[in-house]
Amino acid sequence: MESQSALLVRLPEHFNAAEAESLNRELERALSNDQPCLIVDFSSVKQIDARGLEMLLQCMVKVAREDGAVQIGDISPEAATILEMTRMDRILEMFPRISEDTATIRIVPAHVSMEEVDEQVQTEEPQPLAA
Amino acid sequence: MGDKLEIGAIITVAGNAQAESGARVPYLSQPLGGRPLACHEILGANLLNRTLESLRLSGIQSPSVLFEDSGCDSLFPSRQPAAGKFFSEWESAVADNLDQGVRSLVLIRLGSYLEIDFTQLITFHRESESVLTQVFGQKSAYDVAAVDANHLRGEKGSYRGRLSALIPYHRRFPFSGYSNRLREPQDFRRLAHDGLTGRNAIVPVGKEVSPGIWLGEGARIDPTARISAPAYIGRNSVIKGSCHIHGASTIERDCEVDFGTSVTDSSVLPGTYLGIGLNIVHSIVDSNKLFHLNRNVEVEISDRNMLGSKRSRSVLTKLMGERSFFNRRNSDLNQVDAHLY
Repeated sequence: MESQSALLVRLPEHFNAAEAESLNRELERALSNDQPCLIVDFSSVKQIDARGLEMLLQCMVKVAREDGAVQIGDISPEAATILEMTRMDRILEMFPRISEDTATIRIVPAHVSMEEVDEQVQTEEPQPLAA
Repeated sequence: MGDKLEIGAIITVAGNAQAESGARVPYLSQPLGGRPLACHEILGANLLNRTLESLRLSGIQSPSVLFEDSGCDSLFPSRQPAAGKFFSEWESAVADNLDQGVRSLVLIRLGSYLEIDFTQLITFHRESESVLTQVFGQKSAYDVAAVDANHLRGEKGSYRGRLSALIPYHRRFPFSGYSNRLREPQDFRRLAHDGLTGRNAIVPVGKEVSPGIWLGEGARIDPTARISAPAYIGRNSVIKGSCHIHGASTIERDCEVDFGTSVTDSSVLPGTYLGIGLNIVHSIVDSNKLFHLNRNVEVEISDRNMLGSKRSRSVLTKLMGERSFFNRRNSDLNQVDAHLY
């Protein structure tokens, strides 16, 4: 699939209800365009609670409705275990691959408040995508 | 053996924090709940009880069982300079055995699993006129030994001191049977897997209802669940509809595997609840802790609807049930359960 830009979401070490809520609000705005591309970086994640998982699922549903793509970036063994246990890894595998030619990647930090997100959203060079 | 009363035994249950070598074992205590490995059930019975049964079959009727404290991590307590509760208990246990007139004393430290024929060990020990015989594998010693009780008798000093004096004169009893040093959770899982696949002598507690499928007493399996051999479902455990248990998985006693969950190449420890629709792969699950054997990592799940203890969930379900939308009475719920099984 072709895409101009992707959102890189770096999840915090403990992805709990509060973090999920914050990220959800940010993604509401960020995923408004057609065919959104989302790369979720789980590399720091040690724990995800039920609300965090629910939010991820909602996010995937939103992206799927817009014919977009969600992909796992780097992932910690803890997060890989939780995704496998909840079968969310299989859902993520259903999305089309995000092209490595993606021009820009905007970073959405999931562990800061809405106001801070506005200031910290930035553009980076394309990053290699984890398999 | 004919001279049952002439053989005594002292079983020391090794703590979880240290291996036989004394080295720290990083992944052992957390996923297995910090309990000594010998106290964890494998296929329906723990290693302590299995060892007691093995001793009984060899004619050793009433072994003393001691639990190590932090001051000891060796088969021979005499090597430890510190004094403590464990050492006084050990001294008392030796004294009791000597008072009963035993000729030979078997010392066992339950840290690793060893399928040894104690009758052969004692026969070798006596025929070789050894004062101390220790079991040796190809590479190193195991924590099992036989000692001549007469050499422990005396008036001066501790039994530990006398045992220590015998160590330089020990003989080796060569052992090449099945063993598992149980140093890591992977070893624990391998022991269960080997038991189910017949690679060791651990016999599942229960009934083999079809080839390779063992059920403990009171285990219930929904007709829509699939159990692929070999598998073990322990006493009073419940496997609900559309579940799939395979890959030589073991579900120990008092567990509940809820609707649609798949368990592959895993061990689920007693009293664990697995929530709806989960995919448990290459893991050991103990209540709300899951240790992934391939990734060597443990995750703790705080949502009791996903993973947890069956008992705490029962209380939670009961509390929620009282305020539930349907407000069904217990008798109604029992009827639903009756239909399921």
